[in-house]
Amino acid sequence: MDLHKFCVKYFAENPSAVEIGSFIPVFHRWIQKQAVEGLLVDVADYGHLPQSPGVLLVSHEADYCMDAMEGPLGLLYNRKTSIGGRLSDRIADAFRVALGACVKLENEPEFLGRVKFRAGSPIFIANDRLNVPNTEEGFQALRSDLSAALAKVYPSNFELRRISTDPRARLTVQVTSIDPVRDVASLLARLS
Amino acid sequence: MTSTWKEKLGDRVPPDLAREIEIFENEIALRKAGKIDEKVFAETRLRRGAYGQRYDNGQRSDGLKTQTLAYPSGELTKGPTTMWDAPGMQRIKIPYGGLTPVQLEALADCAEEYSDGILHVTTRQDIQLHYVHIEETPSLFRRLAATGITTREACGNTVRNVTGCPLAGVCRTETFDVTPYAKACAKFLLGHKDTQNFGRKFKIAFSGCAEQACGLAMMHDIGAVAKVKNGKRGFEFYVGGGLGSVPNQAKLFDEFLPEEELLPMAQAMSRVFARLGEKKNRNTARLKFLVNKLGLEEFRRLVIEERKSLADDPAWTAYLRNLHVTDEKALKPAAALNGRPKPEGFDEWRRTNVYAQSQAGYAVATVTLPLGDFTARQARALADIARKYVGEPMRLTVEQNLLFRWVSEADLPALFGDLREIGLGEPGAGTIVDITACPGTDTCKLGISSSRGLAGELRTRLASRMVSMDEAVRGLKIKVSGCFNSCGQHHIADLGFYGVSRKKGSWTVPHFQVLVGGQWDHNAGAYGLAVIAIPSKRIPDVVDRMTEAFLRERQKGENFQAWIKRIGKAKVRAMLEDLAAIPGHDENPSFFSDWRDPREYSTGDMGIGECAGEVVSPLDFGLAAAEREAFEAQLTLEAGDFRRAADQAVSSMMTAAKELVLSKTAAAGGAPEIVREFREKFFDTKLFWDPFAGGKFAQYFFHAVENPPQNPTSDAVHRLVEEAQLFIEAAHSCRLKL
Repeated sequence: MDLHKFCVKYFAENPSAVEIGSFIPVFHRWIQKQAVEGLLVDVADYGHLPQSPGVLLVSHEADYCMDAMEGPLGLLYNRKTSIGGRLSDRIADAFRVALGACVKLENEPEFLGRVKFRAGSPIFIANDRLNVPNTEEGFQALRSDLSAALAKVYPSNFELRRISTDPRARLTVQVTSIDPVRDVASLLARLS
Repeated sequence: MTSTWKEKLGDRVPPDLAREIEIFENEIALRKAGKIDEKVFAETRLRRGAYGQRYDNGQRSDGLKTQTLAYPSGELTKGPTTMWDAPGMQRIKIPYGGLTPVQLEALADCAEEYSDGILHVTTRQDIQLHYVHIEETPSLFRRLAATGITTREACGNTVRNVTGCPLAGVCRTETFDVTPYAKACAKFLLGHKDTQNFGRKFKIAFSGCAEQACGLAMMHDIGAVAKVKNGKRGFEFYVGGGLGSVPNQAKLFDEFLPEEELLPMAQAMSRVFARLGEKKNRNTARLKFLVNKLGLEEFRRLVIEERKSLADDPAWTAYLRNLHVTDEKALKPAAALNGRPKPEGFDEWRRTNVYAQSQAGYAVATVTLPLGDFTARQARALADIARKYVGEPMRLTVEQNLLFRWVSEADLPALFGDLREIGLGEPGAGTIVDITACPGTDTCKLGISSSRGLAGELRTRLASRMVSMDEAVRGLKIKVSGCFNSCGQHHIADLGFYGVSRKKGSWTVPHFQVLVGGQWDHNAGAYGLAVIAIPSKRIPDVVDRMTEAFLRERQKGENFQAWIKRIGKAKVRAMLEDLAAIPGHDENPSFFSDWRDPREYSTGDMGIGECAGEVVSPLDFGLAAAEREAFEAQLTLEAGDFRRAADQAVSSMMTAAKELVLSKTAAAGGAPEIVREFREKFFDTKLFWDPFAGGKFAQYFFHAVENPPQNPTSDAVHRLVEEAQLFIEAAHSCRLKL
C-alpha cells in the first residue's frame, strides 16, 4: 500500500486544563531549541476556532498540532512527506515521534501535572483519499500494516475500529489497547 | 489500481483545464531539472495562484537568532530567493464568491490533504490554503477542476478574481442581478490573449447598486455598477480605482455602458492597459497610474478608439441570450417564521446575521467566519447544511464570511441550531466584532505586524461586551492590514489599522497606524488617512477610547465618519497621543513582541546596548518631526487649503530625507543638496529600498520634489499626503538598517 500521508493522535486526558494559546510559546521554544524531529518552520495559530487544528508547529516533514478538529483536544502528528521503508515501519515511526512529542509536552514546566495524554486510545488517520479511501475495503487493506506497526506499541493486544463511514471523510481508525497502559512515556520506551 | 488523481479523475476535469494543469506539471519538472529560469517559473506559478509564503527565503528569526531552514531540495528555488520546498500559499479563485456544496467538499479535501485543514476566505472572495508544497499543486488543481474551480490567474499580472455583490439576485435595493455579467466577464477574460501581457494585476468588481457597499466598485481597476436607462440594462462604468499603498478612487468612465458593450469595452481596456501600462516599474504599473498619467479624457479616447478597432466576437453577447443561467431556485417553499420555537441566542443572531430577501418569505443567513477561517470539517458540514436548507447557492463575501441564500424563514431557527452545532453560530456579522484582517505576519512575506493577532484580540474583547454595546458602536467596521498594502482594506473602515514598526533604543516595536475617515458604504466611497502610529499592544485602548469618545460627543443622528469630520483629525490625534509612548523593555516587555507571537519582535541578531530602551537618537527626533509635518498636511487638506497641504506634504518628505542624510554627513545643506545626497547615499546604494517595493517610496519623494503639483486638487493632495506618510515609514525602516 502506497501511503505516506497519515496522522496519529493522542487525546489529552483533561482537554480544558490549559488554554489553547499556552501552546504557542512552547512550540516557539521548541523551534529555538530544535527540540523535536523535523525541519521546524513556524507556528500557526487557529485558537480563534474552537474545533480546529488549534496550534500547529509546522515542519517540512510533518505538523505537530494541538488539535481539536479530529475529536477532543490532543496531540496530532501529521506526516506530510514521503519517506522510504515499509509502511508498517513508517507508521511505527510516526507513533514514536508523536509519543515523543506527547512526553515532551507533559514535561514542559508550564504544563507539568496539567497536560497528560491518554496512552491507550489513539487514532490513526489515513490522509490520502486516493490510496486509502474511507471504505471497508480501504480499512481492510490498511489493517495488516497498521497492526504490524501497533504490535510494537501495544504488544499485548489492541482493537481497531473504523470511526466514520462517511465516504467523504478520511479513513480514521480508533485504536484501543486491550490491557491498561501506564502512560505515553512507557509506550515511547517500547519504540526507542 | 489508480495511483494518481489524473488517472482517477480522467475526463471529469474539463479538457482546457486539464491541458493547462498538465503544462504546469511539466513546468515543475523542467524547473526541477534546471531548464526553466526561476523568474519565469515564478510568474508561471503565480498565474496558477501558487504564491510564496513567509520565510520561504530559508531564513527565520526564532526570537533569539536567525535560523537557516535547510530544505532537502537544497539550492533549488521556485523563484528569486524562494526555496523550492518552502511551504507556499495557494489562492483559489471563486468568481463572485459563488460556491456549490460539491465545490466546498473538494476544497475541504484539499485543505486536509495538502494544507493544514483550514480554509481562509480573502477580502476578494477567494479561498486561500497555506503551507502547500509546490509539487502537490497539480493534484490539488485537478481535484478542484473536476468541480469547476480553476486557480488560473489567481495571482500574477492577470485579471484576478472577478468579485460581485454577494446579495446579487436577492438584494432589496439592487437595480438588477449582476451575477450573470460577473460570471460572463470572468469567463471571457480568463486566459484571453489580450489579458496576458499586463505589467501588473487587474481587478474587476460588479455591484448591484451605488448606495450600499456591495462590490466595492470604487476601489477596483474596473467597477461596474448596475444601471437601467430608458428600460435598457447597462452599467455605470468606473476605472482606475485601487487600494494598495496609495489608494485611488475610481473615476467615472461612462455614466451608462450598455450591457452588450461590457465585454468588448473590458477587452479594449485590457488592450490599452497591456500596450501603454508601465512594465518596468511595477510600483507604478496598475491601471490607476496609467489613467492618472494620461488623464481620464485621453484614456477614454484611447479605449474607445481601441474598441472600434476590435473584430466582432460572438462571445461578447452570447451570454445575454441566457441571463437566467445563474438564477437560483429555492429548495423549500417560502414560509414565515411566525410562532416557531426559537433556540437560545437565535434572536441576537437573527438581528445581525439575517437579511430579508427581496423575495418574500426567504432570507439570507450569514455564517460569521472568525478571521475568515473555517476548518475542513466545518466546510463539509456547511455543504450538508446547504443541501438540507437551500440546495446549492452559497456565496463568499469580501468581509470574509459565507452566505446561505434562499433560506425559507421558517427554517432559520433550525439552520441556526445546525450552525451552532458546528461552532459557526456566532452573531455579529457586519458589526464591530466582525473584523476583517489580511494574513499579515502569520504567513505573508510582506507583513510587518500581526494583523490576525490584533484582529483576534479585538474580536475577543469586543465580543464579550457586544450585548451591552450601543447600537452606534456595534455597527462600526474595523479592518486590519499587516502592512501598508491594504489587503485588509484598512482604508475603507471606520477604524482602520495597518502594521508599521518603530525603534525604541535598540529594540524594534510592532505598531499600527490608526486610520480614520474611511467609508465602506457607497461602494467604498472614501478612503481614510493615518493619524498616528500606536504600539500594537495599545490598539485595544485606541478602540476603547475612540468608541467611548464617539458615544460621548456625537450629535443626534451623527455617524462615526461625520463625527470624525466634525471634530477633526487634530483632535483625534490629541486623543490618542499619550498611547504612542513606548514603555521601557524592562518595564513592560510585552510591548516588544506581537499579538499571539511571543518571539522578541526584532531582526533577530540585533544586539542590545547598555541603555536599551532609553536612547533616542537625533534621527528618531527628526523622523518624528517629519511625521508631525505629514500630519499637519493632512489637517490642512481637511481644511480645504490644497496648495499649502501639498507644500507641507513635500516638506515632510524633505525633513525625513534630511534627517537620514544628516545621519551620514555633518551638514545637509539646502533642498537640492538634500535630494542629491539622499539619492547618492540612500537610493543609489539601495539602502532606502524596501525588500519588496524596491525604490518606490524614494521615487515618491523625487517625483514630489521634481514635479510639485501646480494646481493641486483634493485627490492629488490626498495621494501626496499618503505618499509622504509612506516615505516616512520607509525612512523608519531604513533607520533600522543604519
